[in-house]
Amino acid sequence: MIQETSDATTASNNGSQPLLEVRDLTKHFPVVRGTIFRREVGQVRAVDGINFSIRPNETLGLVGESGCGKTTTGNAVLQLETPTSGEVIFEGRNLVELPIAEQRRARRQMQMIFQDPFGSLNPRMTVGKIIEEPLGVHKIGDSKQERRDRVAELLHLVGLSPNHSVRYPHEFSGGQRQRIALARALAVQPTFLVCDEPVSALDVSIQAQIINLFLDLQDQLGVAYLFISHDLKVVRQISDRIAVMYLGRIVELAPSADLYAHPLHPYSRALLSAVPVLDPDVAANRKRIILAGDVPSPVDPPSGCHFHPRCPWAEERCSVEDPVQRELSPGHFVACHLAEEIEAAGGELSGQNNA
Amino acid sequence: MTESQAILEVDGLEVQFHTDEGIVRAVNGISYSLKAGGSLGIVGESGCGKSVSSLAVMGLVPRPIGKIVAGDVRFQGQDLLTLSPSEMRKIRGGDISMIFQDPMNSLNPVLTIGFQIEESLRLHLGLNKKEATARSVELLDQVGIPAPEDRIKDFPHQLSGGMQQRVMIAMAISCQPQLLFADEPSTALDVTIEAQVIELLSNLRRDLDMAVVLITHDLAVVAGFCDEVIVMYAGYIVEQSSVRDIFHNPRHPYTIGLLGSMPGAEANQDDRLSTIPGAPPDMTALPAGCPFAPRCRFVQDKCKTDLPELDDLEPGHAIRCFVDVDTGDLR
Repeated sequence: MIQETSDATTASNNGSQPLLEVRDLTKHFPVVRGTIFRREVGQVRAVDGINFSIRPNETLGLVGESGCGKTTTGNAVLQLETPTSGEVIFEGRNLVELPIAEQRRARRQMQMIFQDPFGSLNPRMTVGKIIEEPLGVHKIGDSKQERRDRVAELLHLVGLSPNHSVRYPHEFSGGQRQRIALARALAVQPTFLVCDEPVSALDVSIQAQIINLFLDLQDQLGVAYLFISHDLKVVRQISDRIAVMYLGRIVELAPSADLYAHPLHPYSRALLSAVPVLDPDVAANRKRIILAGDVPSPVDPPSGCHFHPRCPWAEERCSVEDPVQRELSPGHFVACHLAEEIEAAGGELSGQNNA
Repeated sequence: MTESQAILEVDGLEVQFHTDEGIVRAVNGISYSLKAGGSLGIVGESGCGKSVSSLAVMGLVPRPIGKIVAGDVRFQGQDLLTLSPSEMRKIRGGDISMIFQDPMNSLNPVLTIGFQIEESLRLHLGLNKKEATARSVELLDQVGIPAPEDRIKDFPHQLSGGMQQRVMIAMAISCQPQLLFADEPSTALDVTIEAQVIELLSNLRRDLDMAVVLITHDLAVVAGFCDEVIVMYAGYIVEQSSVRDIFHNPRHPYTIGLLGSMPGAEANQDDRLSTIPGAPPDMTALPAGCPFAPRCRFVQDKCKTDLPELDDLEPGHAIRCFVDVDTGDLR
């Protein structure tokens, strides 16, 4: 697992302090049996000790497959789930230790965009009311007129027209609803947004419009994103740095271009090689690492490196020793015992494990 | 494609739905042919008619709201649209088979997967219980499910999404179909599992010499799987060509826009994606002229009034567009 230090990551970016720092964050859910005599029979280790930081105006992409803990990470960062242990330091304060009222106040700076634009907007409220609600909750804007102006401004910001504010969510398409969700999140002028699969439910041409909107808003407002997605192509487009998660742990964290050009962890290699490419000639000739089997259950994760049962390079020590994070090139962290050996072999499979 | 070998010929197919909001013109005269063992990708966004056109071929357009209003569908020379429902049932699941996007909802949750695979073997091939069970185990083994003799006793919820899709594929190939429709077979799956399923489909296609129609919104999946591609927009075929031409020499503005919208495309290595403005049209009120004209950056006056025909630019590459995208002028 990765123990990212703030010095190492901030060094590359004019020395600014991280906006958010997550240290040793874990979130375990109890598995209970029985109705009257409830007893705990196990734990889902959804997030199992992760570390990362995000600078102001930066996008950190969090990728992984279903059940790897990426959504739980987003929720735990926002304190929507109370972490089992660990620290979430936002603008210098550890949110986990703050009293609830203080947490709420801090959360004004941190907003969330959800995957499903159909489920995340109240169908009985007009768009104007939806966007205005957080202003009321956080007591921003004195007069009604002031708030109404702010709503119009926000709608304009996300590419909608101010007269959309009297309409209801069902009158809008998926892409437009995601714009409304963005306007609502930006209403309270946050510095940090957790975006959980915000474009996954959209069609390709609409998805591209929304990705560009995310990028434009970041340029205009300087907001930082934790961008959670299973789609590696989308994450690459939008992220400055990317963290790859597998079974509750971050296995690799690197600047995006670096990660795509030189993935070091076997899981990242497999994940990137599995992404379909847009060129039929390349598709026909490239080597793909097709992983065997499914992701194991997080209730009883494999010993040692969580990835070892599916790893084509795994050795004996992988099933015993937890790999620790190592910084193999500046800003490029990987948690794998064999990363250098695999790199030296050019990522080629060798020996008896060859599939 | 030579006509003589064609296993499936679709000619001028039109499908409409009569809804409360008006008549939805879901498919507006599409024609294609597919040779035995070939693979065709049908690409487009939600509501472009790609699924409906395939349901129509299989006789599965929901009645009474949906209706095939024109066209011919010939499978191995036989006109499918004139068959009685019981004759169609013999072909469907037998010589023509299908896989759907959502394996969770396509399997019956209260029956074991063994029972569900055996059902089609007994109906179509007339195998007895014992033979059907033995064949089911073989099929599950063929689609890469470990310990198949135990798995046939499992219920669908005991399997992961990728495993469920493998079961669906096992069912689809159980009667050795000549033609398989795969409607977004990998969309609901994770990236590494998607790669497994697509690899499995390509191996099965080769081993069983079966023609495959792959319906998807993801151009990248098509790039690795298909020989021929149809791009659909608002119920029309807008471009039809070999897979290489679609990616290396796209000629229709919509295809170009769609490729530009894909993150990870060559042109999108830097910051912003090149997008198509606006949204697809309301299918109950298609604009006069070319349905893509309101979103098209090459639009000319003629496009707003006249509907272009699907013309061959060269053999095997057809587009439905008046404009030459290199010059921006009318062709």
